Amino acid sequence: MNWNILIPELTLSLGILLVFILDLFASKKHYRTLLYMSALVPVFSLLSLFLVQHPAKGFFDLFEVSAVNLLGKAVLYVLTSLSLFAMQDYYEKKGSVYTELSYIPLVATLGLSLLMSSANLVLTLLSLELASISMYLLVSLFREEYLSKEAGFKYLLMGAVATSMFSLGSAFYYASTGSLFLKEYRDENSLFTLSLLLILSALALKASAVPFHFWTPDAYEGAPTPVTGYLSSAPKVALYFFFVQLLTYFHHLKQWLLLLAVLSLLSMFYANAVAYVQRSVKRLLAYSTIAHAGYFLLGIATVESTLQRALLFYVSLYAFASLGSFVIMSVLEKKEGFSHHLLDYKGLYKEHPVLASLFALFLFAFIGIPPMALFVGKLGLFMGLVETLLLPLAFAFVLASILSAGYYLRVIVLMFLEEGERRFPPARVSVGEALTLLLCSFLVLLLGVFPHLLYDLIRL
Amino acid sequence: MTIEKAYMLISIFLFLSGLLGVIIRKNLITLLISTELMLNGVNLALVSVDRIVGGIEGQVFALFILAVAASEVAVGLGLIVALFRLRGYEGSSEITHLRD
Repeated sequence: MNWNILIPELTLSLGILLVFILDLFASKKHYRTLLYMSALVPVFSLLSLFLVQHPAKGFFDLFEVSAVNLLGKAVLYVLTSLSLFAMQDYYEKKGSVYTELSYIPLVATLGLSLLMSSANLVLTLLSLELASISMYLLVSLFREEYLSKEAGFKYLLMGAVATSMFSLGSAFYYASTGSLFLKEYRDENSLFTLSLLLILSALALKASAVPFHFWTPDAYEGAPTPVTGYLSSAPKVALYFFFVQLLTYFHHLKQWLLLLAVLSLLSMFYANAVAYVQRSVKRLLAYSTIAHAGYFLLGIATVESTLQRALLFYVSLYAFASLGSFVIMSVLEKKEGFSHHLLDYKGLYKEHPVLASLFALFLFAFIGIPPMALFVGKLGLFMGLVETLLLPLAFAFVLASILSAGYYLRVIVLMFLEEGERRFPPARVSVGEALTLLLCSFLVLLLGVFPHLLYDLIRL
Repeated sequence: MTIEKAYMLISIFLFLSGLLGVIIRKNLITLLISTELMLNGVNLALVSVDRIVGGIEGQVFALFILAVAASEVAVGLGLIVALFRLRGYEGSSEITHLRD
């Protein structure tokens, strides 16, 4: 048994147990302490990543770590810690204090962190479910709020369908290869192709690509806004790091490129078109997530290290920008009567110049305007697609990016150039939210100017 | 037709009828039962694949799936109770408040 490779997960589990036991004895007034404690747990896991010797395998080859894995885990832990810091004040102002909320995000992160290292379909399913079930709970834990329960149920139902598709796919995989370990399997037959189709559909459902996107706008709109920030950042990072790993086992199949191209083209164009008719900014950003799922899936269309490096850079920075924008929305939602309707954002610059500017910064980052780091990711993805001679996909990607600029710009125009009609009481930014916003915007800007700081760490 | 093939066909039938239930039914509890049906179809497939391949990994996987399905249903039923408390019977038979 090689316990060394499991140190970050063990640290995380010990932290979860500690917070869980304290939660049993502490009363509700210690909620803030508990939440800050649990926000520090991922920081310790982050530090413990330096103790892991890599590359290594262990636990009967079920679990493997490599340099890329560890980088993904580092990004995941930072995101979790930041979103926990941003949660505290929102729930207190909304009068929905559940002390359980302090450790459930950590459980989800534990699942995602195991997912990135798993080399066996059983472990993959279990870690995916550990993360998903905790996320159903996170979406629906909002006191006296009907929409959050409805969103949670829809998410749960779609998630259960994905689970059963994934496990049927693994049954077929087992039947054709004789083992549940992920490995390169050259002997193509229809059963193996069917298993690939089922597993890919299940993962596409978790990544919210288009034919399987139904749950995304509902879950994002109904969930408490800080949780939406978590949902749109941490699972995406883990899933795409896992996808890159999966690519080495499946890329030789001739259906792979076709399936990925269909999924990504549908997601890009459908989501970018539907986003224009949305009235709620929260829903608009949910569709923007679906469009981004389309861009990311292009990054695993074929094996090419520049393409995958660009994808991992892009998805990591996208997660920070997305978390930041949802945290801004949760700050605004603390105002009485604020509903995320587009008209509520009118004239926001007059009332909150700093918040409006930060929101504009993240929206510009989504479009891919140069000083922001997402531009470097988009450029890398485009270059990779051109290098692998997938020119139609590269042009579709650029076209979809340009198409998407319109709805982001509309929000910015409403915030800066128009006069507000409704008056809301001012919103205070708490310490945790300020920390999250500062770090997210700082990273998005810093890595846009000096991309090599992160780019050189991604070694495939 | 060998017995293993028959079992595989039954399992795929169970899976597909569960999927059909998820697509066409509206009652929340029926929806949960349909997902259970899908997962049990998968369990049957895994166990019968074990017999074809001659291993035991499928049965181990089936045990894990049982546990996963139970925890998912626990969360789902809790949510149905919460929906019922907030909206009464109408709330728990059909949910369509979040849409475009």
